Amino acid sequence: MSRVVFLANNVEELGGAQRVVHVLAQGLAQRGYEVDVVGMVPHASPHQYFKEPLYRQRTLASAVSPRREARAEAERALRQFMGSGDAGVVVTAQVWAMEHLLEVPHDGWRVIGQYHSSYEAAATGRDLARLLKAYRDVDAVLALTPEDAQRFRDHGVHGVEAMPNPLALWPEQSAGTARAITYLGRLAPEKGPRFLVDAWSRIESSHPSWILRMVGDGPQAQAMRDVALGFGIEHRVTFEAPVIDIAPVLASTGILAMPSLVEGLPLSLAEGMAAGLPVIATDCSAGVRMLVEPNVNGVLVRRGDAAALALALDSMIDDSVRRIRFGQAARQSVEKYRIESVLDLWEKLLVDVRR
Amino acid sequence: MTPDVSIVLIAFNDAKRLPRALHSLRDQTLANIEIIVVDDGSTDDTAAIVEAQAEDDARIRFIRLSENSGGCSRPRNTGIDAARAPWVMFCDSDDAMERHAAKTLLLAVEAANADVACGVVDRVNMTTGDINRWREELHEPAVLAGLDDRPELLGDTVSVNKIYRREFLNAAGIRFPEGILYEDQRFTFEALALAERIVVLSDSVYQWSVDSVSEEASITQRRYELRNVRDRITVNRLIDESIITRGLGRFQDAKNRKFIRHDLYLHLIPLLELDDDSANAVIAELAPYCATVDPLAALSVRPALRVALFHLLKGDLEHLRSALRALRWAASIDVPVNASADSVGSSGEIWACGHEDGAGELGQDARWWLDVTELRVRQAPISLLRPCHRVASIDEGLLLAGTSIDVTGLGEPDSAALVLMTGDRVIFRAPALVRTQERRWHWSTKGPWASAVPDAVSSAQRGAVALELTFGNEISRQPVRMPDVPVSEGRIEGVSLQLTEGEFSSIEWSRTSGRSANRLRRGTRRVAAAVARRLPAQGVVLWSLDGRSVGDSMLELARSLPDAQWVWERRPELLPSAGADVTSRQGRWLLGRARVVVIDAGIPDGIRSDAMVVRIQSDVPVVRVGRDAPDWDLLSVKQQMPAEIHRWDVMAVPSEDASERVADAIGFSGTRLVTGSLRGERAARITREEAREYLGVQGDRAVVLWAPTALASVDPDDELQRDLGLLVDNLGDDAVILVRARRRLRIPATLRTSALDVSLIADAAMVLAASDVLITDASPLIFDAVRLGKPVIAWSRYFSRIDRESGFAIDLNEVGTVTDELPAAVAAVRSALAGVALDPSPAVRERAGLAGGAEPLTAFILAAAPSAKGSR
Repeated sequence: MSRVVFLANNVEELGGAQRVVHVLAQGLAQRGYEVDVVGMVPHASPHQYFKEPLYRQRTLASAVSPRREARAEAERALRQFMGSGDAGVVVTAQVWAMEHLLEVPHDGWRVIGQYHSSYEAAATGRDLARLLKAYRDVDAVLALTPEDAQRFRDHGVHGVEAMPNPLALWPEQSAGTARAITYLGRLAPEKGPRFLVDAWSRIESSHPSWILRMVGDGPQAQAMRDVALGFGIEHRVTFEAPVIDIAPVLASTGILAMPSLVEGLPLSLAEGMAAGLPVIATDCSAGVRMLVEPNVNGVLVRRGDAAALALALDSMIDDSVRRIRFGQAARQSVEKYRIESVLDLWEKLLVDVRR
Repeated sequence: MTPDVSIVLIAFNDAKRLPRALHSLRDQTLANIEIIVVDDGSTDDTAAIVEAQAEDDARIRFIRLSENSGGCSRPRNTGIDAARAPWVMFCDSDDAMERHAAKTLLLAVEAANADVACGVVDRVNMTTGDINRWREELHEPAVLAGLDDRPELLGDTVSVNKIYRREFLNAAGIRFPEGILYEDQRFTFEALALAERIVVLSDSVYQWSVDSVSEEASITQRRYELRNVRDRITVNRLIDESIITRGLGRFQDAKNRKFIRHDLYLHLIPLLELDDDSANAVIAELAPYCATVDPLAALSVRPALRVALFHLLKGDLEHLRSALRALRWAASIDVPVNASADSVGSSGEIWACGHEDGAGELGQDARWWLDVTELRVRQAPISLLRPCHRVASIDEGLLLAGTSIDVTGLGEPDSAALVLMTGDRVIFRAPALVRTQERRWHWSTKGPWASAVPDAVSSAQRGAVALELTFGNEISRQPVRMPDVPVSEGRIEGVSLQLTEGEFSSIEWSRTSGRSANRLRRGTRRVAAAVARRLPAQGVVLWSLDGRSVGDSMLELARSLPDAQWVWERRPELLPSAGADVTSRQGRWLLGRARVVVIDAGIPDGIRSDAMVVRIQSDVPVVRVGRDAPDWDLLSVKQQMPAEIHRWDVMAVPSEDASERVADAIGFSGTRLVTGSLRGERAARITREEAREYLGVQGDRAVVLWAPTALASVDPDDELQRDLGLLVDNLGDDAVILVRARRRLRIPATLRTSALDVSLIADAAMVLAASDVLITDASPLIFDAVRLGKPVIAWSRYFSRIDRESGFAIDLNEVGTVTDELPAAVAAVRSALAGVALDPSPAVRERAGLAGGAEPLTAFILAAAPSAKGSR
């Protein structure tokens, strides 16, 4: 049986979880699986992930907001969808999608529930309780890292194993000569951009040839410009719009900085490492700890600590040999998250889950 | 296709619990398994159950042994021999396997190419629902290159939490030894010791049922019996033989340490509770084997256990018990320590007391065995020492006395007191006397301190009782413990001291009633309960629905027990007859005096310990619940099994069928009494008109009782609202809908002319009497409706799910119309109202309960409390 359905809250938005779903769908389709990508509700500005997708994509509800009517409509459509064609393996990307799947008959299907954030994130929000309930009877639960899987296990989630997210691209090795510290991500409080701007303001005068590049958009876009202005470093920081193809950005980066307060297994960090960049990240999730091996391929600092971040940036900028060494190690260490390797893991999982 | 794993499920006359175990295997996420059920010569329904399930599930194979083998070994060995899969697992009929167990273990053992993989056993206390991950500390995840990597894994001695390569078992000839208990031990020893690779997982894979209360406690749980001691020794001898014949000498030391730490400890601790003769018999079984164990293994265990082993070898029961108390309360010191100057060694060693002559025969001299220097009893500050204060006596006036080993060597303290503490705070201090004799403190409170109990006590609910000893400016304040006291509690008005059971058995104090505090000072009331409890037990008290309102069965019972007294926590608005407040003098008097207390929910405070508690169970579930449910959920056990069940002496139920099912489901092991349906009797006596008036049903419309339990419903609130709307739309013109929902349903204003919420009416008989037809998914009212001859329409969108998740205890088709579609349900209601409905089968009628009502119960109660009639 080679039918796989990815079910997610929405599959149209330009976002991390969605990208993973589409990349996996395309990869498995290339390997001969019959793949559907199904969203519960549409998104206001849909994004086309592949020009020529080898999988089917559909959205169940017509209304954008997940209101009661949209939910009912989605549920009706889901009931019909799950009942038609051969039963295969259905993978839900979020707890919410699983909660809906549980409401419709799905006899014969094997069910896999993913959790796309860290254990910490689940435990601090309401997700853990929901997850314990909704994922109780599934065939497998996927956590992002072995550490997260172990912690879920310790807290009563059964049948949980680790499955890393794949890297969507494998960029060229960076030359290591660019003099830019780059931030890649949404400008939102939980991503901690303020700490990076703060840190840069403390050391920028010692490094006149370097600049800080803030690539991204978000609710704090204006606030961050104001912060830079407030520190009097507006000429030392560039603000750039988010891009779909990040390869050119990575190619002109010297150090990738990720000051987040909350993360899962951050793809942009892994992609930066794939490009051979040394990284400085906050120690904010098992996923980050799995990627960054301190003083081997990058540096970990305490989250929310601008002084520590400044110190780490300062010494990294000063030591070009270290930057190159870290960058090479980084590229090597994320080799196992290349799409082909992760697809191998998925193929084994799809066999195991049907045993 | 060859199965991936063969799971061997063994069973012997356990038809009651077997379905749960079998369900746990059929429900495994690993589908490609074979389930080999080996019936060890059962004479009950085991064969019928397995054969019926095998019809549904081709993965089940059934092997019947012609006669019972008397243990687990032969059926398990038979299962291994019959297995076809490359991997083998085991399950017992009274336990259950975690859903992912087979898959998790299989994937891990395959990935590591190991011979054995093991997970964690959850020990589930079937009474309290407490879950204990058994020897979790051994299960740090790893792939071991043989047992040499982690010899202490030998402590994981059970066979059911592991997966084994079948070829490995066969090639090495590893089988369970027949004819003894603890057969797991040699099997797991050999499997672990001979495996080339072992995977250790921290996943919970197995639920081991521990039934501490039931008399049918699993045989391996009974450590007290001599046969168990003997078999434990035997299996250790078998392992020693195996070590020699299989050349596994490198694990002898680990095995010896495991023996002392686990096996010996388990059999020694009960000596604290056995009488001297029985204890000496146990010692006689243990000592000869212990003498063959290399004493060096004792070096790695806690000093108190080493000392205990020495006293065991010497046959010195008194000192042995002393060491065991220290062991049991890990942090307490009860080992008598030599205090004389000449027994302190030149490097500051300290030795425990004991008979030192002739000890050289034990491989080491006495001072080697008795060295307890690491307890640091002389160097540590007095405040950090933890002497074990044993209460020897306690009386109703709370006069306490006891003894403890003087671990300080300082003799009598400057002052002493018994203190009540909450957390670190002392809230009451009663002066105490201490005199020293033979290195022991003998202490007692100075007379009863009942009259001195201060207001402070009433402000806190619980705490601990400690002995406070002052030496100069050093203070020791350690809890007192009550291992030797025959009575289990002492009381004065408003305060009780109680033995709390468990590993750290100690006494606690608590207020006996929530509202008594401010009444303590009032003479007459204070005296009332205390005096009442001293008088002979007399009379019958009725206590309904937590003392807040009245259930139908209680009303019916009260009719035939005119002299029984009601006691209320909150006086109900519609009072059936006179009664007393629980806080009033009369209420406390009645409770303190009552010989029989009848309840339908909750137990009131302040009843005497010898009062007989009769619980009336009116509701008979139609789905499997509690421990009977096939998917019995460990996480919700606590809510399902309130501790108070163990205080019930008698449970009154309406039918034989209900008696069996309810008692099993909740684990009730007391007396069961089949009474006939009290609810039915009452309902039959109420006219339809009376009931309608009571409930406030307007006009002369038909009445449809809708009782949704919303079992298996995904979004009950939404669905109930929507369903009510649909019912009213379809039936509202002709009928009033009484809603009796397990979860409270808010009835929208627009529907209120046709729907009435009766969920909180305690008198269900009134609701039934008012109704013409019952529509429900799985409400216990089904039985009551059948009894009363009211038509039942069973309607739910989730029948298959309810059946899968809970399992019906009856076939609904025998009750009336069953449908999962609303239009069909509405049509059935209409025709029922027009007088056309399916009749319930005779079998269901019988299960619904007998007529006769309260009489059997009344007779029983009057027999227990003959003076009830004159109690007023």
